[in-house]
Amino acid sequence: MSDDKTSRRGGSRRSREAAPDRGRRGTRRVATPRERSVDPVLLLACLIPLLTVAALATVNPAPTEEGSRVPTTTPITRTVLVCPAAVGGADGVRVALADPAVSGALRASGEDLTIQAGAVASLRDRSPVVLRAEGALASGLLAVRDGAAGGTDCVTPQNDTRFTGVGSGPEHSSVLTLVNPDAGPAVADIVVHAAGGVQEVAGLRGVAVPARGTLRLALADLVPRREDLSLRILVTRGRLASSVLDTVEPLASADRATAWLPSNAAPSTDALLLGVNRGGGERTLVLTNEGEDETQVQLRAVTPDSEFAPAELEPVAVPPGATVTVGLGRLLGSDVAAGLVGLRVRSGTPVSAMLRTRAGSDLTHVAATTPLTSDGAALVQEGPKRLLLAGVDAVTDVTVLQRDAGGRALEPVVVTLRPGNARPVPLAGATRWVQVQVGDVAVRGAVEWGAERQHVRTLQPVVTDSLVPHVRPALQ
Amino acid sequence: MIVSVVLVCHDGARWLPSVLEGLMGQHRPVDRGVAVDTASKDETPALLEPVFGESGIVRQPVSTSYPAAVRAALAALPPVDDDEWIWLLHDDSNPEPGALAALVETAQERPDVDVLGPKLREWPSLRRLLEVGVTLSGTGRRETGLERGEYDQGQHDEVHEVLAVNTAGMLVRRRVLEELGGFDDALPIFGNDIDFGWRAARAGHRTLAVPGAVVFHAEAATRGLRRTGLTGRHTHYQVRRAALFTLLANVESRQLLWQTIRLFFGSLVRVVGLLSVRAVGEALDDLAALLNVYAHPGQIRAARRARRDQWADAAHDVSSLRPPWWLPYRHGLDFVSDLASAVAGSAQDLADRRRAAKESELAEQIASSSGLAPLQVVPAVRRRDEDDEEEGMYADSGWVVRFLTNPVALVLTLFVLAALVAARPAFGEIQGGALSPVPRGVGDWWRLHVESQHPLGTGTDIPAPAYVVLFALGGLLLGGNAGAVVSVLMLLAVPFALWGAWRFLRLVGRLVDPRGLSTWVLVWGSLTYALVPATSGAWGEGRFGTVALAALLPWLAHAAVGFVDPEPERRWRAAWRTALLLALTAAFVPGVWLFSLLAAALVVAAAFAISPRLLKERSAWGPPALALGMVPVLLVPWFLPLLGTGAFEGLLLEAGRLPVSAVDFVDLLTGRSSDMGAPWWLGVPVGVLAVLAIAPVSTRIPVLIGWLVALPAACVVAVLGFVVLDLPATPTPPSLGFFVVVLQGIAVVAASLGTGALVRRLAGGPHPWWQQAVAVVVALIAVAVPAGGLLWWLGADNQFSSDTVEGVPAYMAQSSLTGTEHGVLVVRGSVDEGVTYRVRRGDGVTVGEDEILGLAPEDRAMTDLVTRLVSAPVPRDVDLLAERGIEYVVLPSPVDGRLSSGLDAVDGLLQASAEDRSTRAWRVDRETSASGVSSRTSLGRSVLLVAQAAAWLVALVAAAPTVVRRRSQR
Repeated sequence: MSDDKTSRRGGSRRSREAAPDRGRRGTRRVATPRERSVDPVLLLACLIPLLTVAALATVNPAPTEEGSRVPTTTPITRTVLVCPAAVGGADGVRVALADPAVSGALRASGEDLTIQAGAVASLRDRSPVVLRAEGALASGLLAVRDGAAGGTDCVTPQNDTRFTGVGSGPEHSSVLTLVNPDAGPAVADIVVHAAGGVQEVAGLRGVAVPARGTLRLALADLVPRREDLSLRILVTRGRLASSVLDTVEPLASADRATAWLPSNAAPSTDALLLGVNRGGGERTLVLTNEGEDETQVQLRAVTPDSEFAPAELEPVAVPPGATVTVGLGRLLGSDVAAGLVGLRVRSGTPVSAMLRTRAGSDLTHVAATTPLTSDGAALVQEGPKRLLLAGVDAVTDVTVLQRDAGGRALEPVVVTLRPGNARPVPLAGATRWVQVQVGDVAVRGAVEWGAERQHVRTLQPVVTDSLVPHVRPALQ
Repeated sequence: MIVSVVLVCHDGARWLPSVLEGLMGQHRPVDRGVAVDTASKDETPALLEPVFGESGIVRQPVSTSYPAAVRAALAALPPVDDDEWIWLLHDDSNPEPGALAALVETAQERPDVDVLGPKLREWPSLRRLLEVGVTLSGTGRRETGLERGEYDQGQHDEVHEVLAVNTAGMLVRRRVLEELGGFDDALPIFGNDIDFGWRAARAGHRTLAVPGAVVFHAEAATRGLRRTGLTGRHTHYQVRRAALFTLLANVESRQLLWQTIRLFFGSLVRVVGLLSVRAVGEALDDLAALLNVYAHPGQIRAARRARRDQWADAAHDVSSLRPPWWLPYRHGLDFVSDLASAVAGSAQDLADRRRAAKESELAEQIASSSGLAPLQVVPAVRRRDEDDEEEGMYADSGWVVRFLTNPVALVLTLFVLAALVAARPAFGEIQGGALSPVPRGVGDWWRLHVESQHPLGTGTDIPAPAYVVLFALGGLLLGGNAGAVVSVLMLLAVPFALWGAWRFLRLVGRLVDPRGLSTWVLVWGSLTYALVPATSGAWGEGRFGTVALAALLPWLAHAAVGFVDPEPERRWRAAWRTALLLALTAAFVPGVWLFSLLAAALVVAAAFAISPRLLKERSAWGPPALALGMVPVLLVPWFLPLLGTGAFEGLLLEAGRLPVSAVDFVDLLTGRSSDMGAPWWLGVPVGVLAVLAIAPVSTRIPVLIGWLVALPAACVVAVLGFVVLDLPATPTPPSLGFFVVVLQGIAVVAASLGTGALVRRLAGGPHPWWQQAVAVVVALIAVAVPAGGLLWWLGADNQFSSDTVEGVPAYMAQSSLTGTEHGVLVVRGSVDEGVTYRVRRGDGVTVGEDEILGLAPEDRAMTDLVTRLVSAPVPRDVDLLAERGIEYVVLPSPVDGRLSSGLDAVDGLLQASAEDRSTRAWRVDRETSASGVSSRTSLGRSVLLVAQAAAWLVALVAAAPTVVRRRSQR
């Protein structure tokens, strides 16, 4: 009863505040729906929630993308190159700059070495040579250690270097040399890929090289093996320049062949070994799979005109982490290899590849070439030689520049490259510096020389810029 | 035995006729007497003359103190007998006819007694007791041992020994009075009675309260009815000063030091207490008295020396006559409970007041129109609430029984317990997600608040977030334990939100309908809302800003409802309360204030459209404007520098680590603000019920008002959804946690009102089966939300276990604790993907520092330096590191060798070790200095801090409820 009273009182009060309410109440009490017009409160009551939900529906948070984090480039101002110690009779180191206009003095193992504009400078020093260049001299600096079957490129200290096909047995042995050019100690972990996979070698973990020191590691002492191995040198502290001197000495033979083993490009699913010619001797292809799955490797022959898969070659299975060797002597000695300039190694997962050739006391290596996205160059020796260019995935023109020992520029050659074939470009006998100007398409190249074109030197990128990472403050 | 009366008068004509009549009508007449008149301006002398004769009136100047007046009177009355007694009377103290007889009788019966005092009753009420003897507590409070306004029913009619009696009606042996040197001149008007009694007791004299003698006392001076040069305008000051003086002058030497310290801090607490009941004048009087007494230690020393001389070595122990030590604390407890009930009750009856105002308005209208006269009935007594009825039913039982038989109390208690269990990680020190580790001590928070330049990163003048000072204060209360502050916040947020939601929903329910919401709907709404901090994911993510906001929001809403109070004075107080709560909330989530501004603008626009008259009424628009305007003032040390440094983004962010997680449509509808929230479908029913709540017609308008608040919130969210704040260190969406909580809160209120209407509809009489079925389905779905949410929370995952890997070796962290100049530069990333850096100093980034570093502008020079370091560093760069107070450079794993090789090659950086071999570290081989990044506090900052403290004090006092003062009740 009192409840009723209250609500009626409440109703009458509310009726003064909100007329629509009164209408509704009246309707319910009297039960005669007279008002047919739309109740504005009801209209609002439907409209406002609808609008609210509609407004919320537009909320689609923009992804909080960070801005461009791509590194920029800046002219390189300091370059360090390390040339390994001399082997055999030759003790020369040749140095040149990409820019023919630049001349000046750089430091070579503590002494000044003057480079004339465009010319190739040389010095004689049997011990490892550390070249330090600053300013304009740091740009496009290349150096070569002569001797031991064509010599080897001097290298910048790296923190990740690969050598494919090193030996640690009685017939094939290698010596790894680590040079620390800096004032602080350097430490490296060396991963060994053997036939059965990654080989744990205690002596190669945490290898320390003292400041400005050199460490020679005879692999035969540390990890004696008959089969070929591959090394990956991961520098965890400091910087190291690594080189490998490779020796093949077949038992019951007086032939002792020694050569520097060039470091290999990063593993790739499509590696190109340029400078592989038809010829006799032991021809051994070494393949290393750093991945965790077995992969099948397909070899294709590359000639100036075409590229094909020789029928004799079966796909090679490379187990995870393993290094396998494939004897290619018969194939490369046969007619099938006529006109051959390179081998293409295709695989499901990235592999490293290297071809070793031993003929008597001659030992040469052909490592996978690095694709050049900018200029590449090589310091070459006097005499007949040719440049091999290949590995493009679109038609492109490249310009080949040559300079003689005095720095005189020879006539540039423009070469058109097409996918699927290789272009040999003859080089002048006097040429000491060859440089390839690359357009938008990446190119691979190598220079071969010698009586049977047995010596091969891949084109090195001309480093004129350094990468400057994008830097910004962070909260964590 | 001779009794000589001494009547001291000043402008007492108002009371004097009765006093003289009482004096003349004594059953045991006085033997002789003298009146002292201190230059009265009224008819006092004329009234005195017929009784005392011209010779019996001692005229004294107006500046005469009471002690001097008594001395003058004694001089005018040469001693006649060794057994002479002096009966002191005031011109406002009227003795009952038997008063003197009773006193004399007791004096004769007890020859060992030297001072006697009557029972003082209030004049003119005559029945209320004022004093039956008096003593002084350790805090300087005049203790009578009586309740406030206690009626005299003979309950104190035992003759008993006391420390002192009032001078009004005091009968004292003349010899004793003179031996003790009369009353102390240092106490001109107030408190000299206690001092005299204390001195007498120390000297071995006894004082008795004789209740058989009754004197009516108007207490004209104490109540400020009579002002003289001696009382001044500030009687409270005089009273308090006298109390402090008496206490310090008389307390025993071995207690003096303790008493001095206790009295000082006790007085400060008193000041705070007085301020909390808005007794600003008395608080200032108290403070002034304290400063006056403590600034003149010479007076106290002199007084103590004089007293020592008086009683020589034979001082008596008076401790039995002093009140027990705990008495002041009991008074304090009473005061706090009074205050609490006043706070609780202040806004609660808002609904009733509004209704009453409406009813009276209606009654006026009816009365004024004759046609409606038949409707003029006496308003029926409002039906009592169900709660009240339940309370009444259980009133006779013990509280345990009441608790166990009350299902609501049981459910709420179980919920709180379960919430504490679910929040169990917070019992320890928590960190992770958006919650950084706490600093080592609360002092770090204070420092952060005080500094104008922080030694964080590369040094920044971005102000500390506003909540830091709150945390610092909380830390003080928790004994300096910074971890406890965060723990308490995270543990109690949900119970506190429950309490607030309960109060708010009950208020809203009563506003909408006089019967209020059904208790179970109230329980459902409060529980559902209380779980929002947890189910939204803010709790599990450690987003303590949103958690604090969710806990405070219902309280804020409750305070803001006070704007519709019919009484302007209460509206103003609601404004202060709202300002405080808004400032508290905005300290964690500044967006609350911005949204309140927008909402206020909309309301003003609407009010202008509907009733322009409202805008002319200051008490209508003023309170909300005050509340909004006070927020920047209350948060001024954060607000002004934030604008000054141009870090406006800070207004759109919230407390905690950046970046803030983005919120999408489903999150907003289901009340989720992060991935750590409950499954989205658990939040769907609340939204659906909120939409369906527009169906019941009886509550459609209030539900619509709720939706009207939600609409602008949704519009703001829609706009903010497109915004990305591109802070130097990280891009982040603006904080939308506030809107998630607000929308969820509105949905809970709307759903509660809607279901409340449904419950009321179904309450009376039989209803069709389908209506009952709908009700059952709605109830089941509704119950599933809080129940499911709680169950989910009990087993929910959180980010507190995932400790952020700092990547800094322990010995470097240790070193950086030793000073600002031992910073560690932490560089992450790679050449290809970009490199990030931060400079870690002290104990790393702790709670309160994230917001500063997040808003700090990029230090271009530092970025350039780091760029050089990771590309081609030269020794000069190492020098620059040292100048910026960086001792170590660390590249946490995984390290891009191209970055580290340059650092390896540069001179001046020595390789340093790290626990993790793949982490690279270098030590800067130079003398480091922190001159560029040191902590600084500018004068301007100090001004802002003082302004903030003053603003809080003013706001707290102005927001305090009115506790009816004792004196006005008497």
